[in-house]
Amino acid sequence: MCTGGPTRSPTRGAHALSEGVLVERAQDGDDRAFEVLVRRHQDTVYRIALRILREPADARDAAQEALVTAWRKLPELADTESFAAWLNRIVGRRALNVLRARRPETPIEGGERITAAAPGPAAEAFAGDLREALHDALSELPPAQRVCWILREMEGLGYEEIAGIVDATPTAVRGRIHRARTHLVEALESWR
Amino acid sequence: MAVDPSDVHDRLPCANSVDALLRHLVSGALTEHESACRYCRDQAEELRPLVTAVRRSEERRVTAPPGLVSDVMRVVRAERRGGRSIVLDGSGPGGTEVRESAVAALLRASVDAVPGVVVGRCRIEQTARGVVVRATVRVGLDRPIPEAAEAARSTMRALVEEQLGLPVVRVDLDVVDVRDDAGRDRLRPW
Repeated sequence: MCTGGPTRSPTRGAHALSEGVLVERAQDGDDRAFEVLVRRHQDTVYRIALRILREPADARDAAQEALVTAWRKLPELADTESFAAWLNRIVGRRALNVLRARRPETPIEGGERITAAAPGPAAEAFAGDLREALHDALSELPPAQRVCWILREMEGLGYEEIAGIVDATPTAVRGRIHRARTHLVEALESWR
Repeated sequence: MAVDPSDVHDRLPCANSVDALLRHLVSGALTEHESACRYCRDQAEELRPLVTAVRRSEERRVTAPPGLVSDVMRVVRAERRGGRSIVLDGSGPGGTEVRESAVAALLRASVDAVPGVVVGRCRIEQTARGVVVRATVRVGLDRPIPEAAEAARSTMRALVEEQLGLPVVRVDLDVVDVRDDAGRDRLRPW
């Protein structure tokens, strides 16, 4: 026996493997390689879901569904080095769908602006933290605007990438980010 | 849905985009222009509470809840992709089959002992004449590729012959990358 192979654990050293190797192995059905990928990316996946949904329980569900979806669709991923961006896309889409289901009313798009009615969320937020005020202002936005803003300004994704997640053109994404920012600046005016 | 031509009104009179300015303000890395330009400075003042709010938000490190990995992996393992099986020779009665995925895991692990070679994809096909192995490998720069590939090939061949008791027709290796870390993170040099 010249290999010493069969007595070695198949996961031995797996944590030291590069993303491309792990993705190829997972595409082959190697669930141990996939587990290493899940451990590497779980914080980012959960953070994106939490930023969009705000409810930890909803974010956890969305993160879990996104990671399971990634396992199922992994054989379709052609560029193994783009795994992280591909995963972000899956969780972004998932969270947006949850958000839309949660708010069945017609999203306000175009030039319309939402005003927070005092003594509603804005008044409460004034007493709280600025971070909470931002989150409250974000939750007043239509789902697509909120998601575009969060992915751009908090996760640093590009317009093209965001467009793929929200099924819109990059120009429409830029428009939503602009409208979101206008609303947020106004909502935070009292913090000046 | 109407498309907003925001390209125009997202630009300051100096042609800088407000989106870029906001990102630079949050990261604290203003361009030379942004530090000097009065339009950018006025806009920065406008954005100040928002910049502070985004920064405060980012200060809070978010980690995944405990149990997420195990919940995901429970579902993943329950629907593990079937894959084919390799039929082993035996005198019977009864037969022995080994899942292709299990053989692939053994083959990858066996090559862990070969310096400078890491196996990614690994497919095993059983033919009438024996087993055909096809794998992608990443090879390090510290020795000639043919030598590294041959070491991996003979290791895989030996494993199939000795552990599975099957003849090997061919071991095809596709070298997908050649680099000084050969597919391993630098955290753990070998």
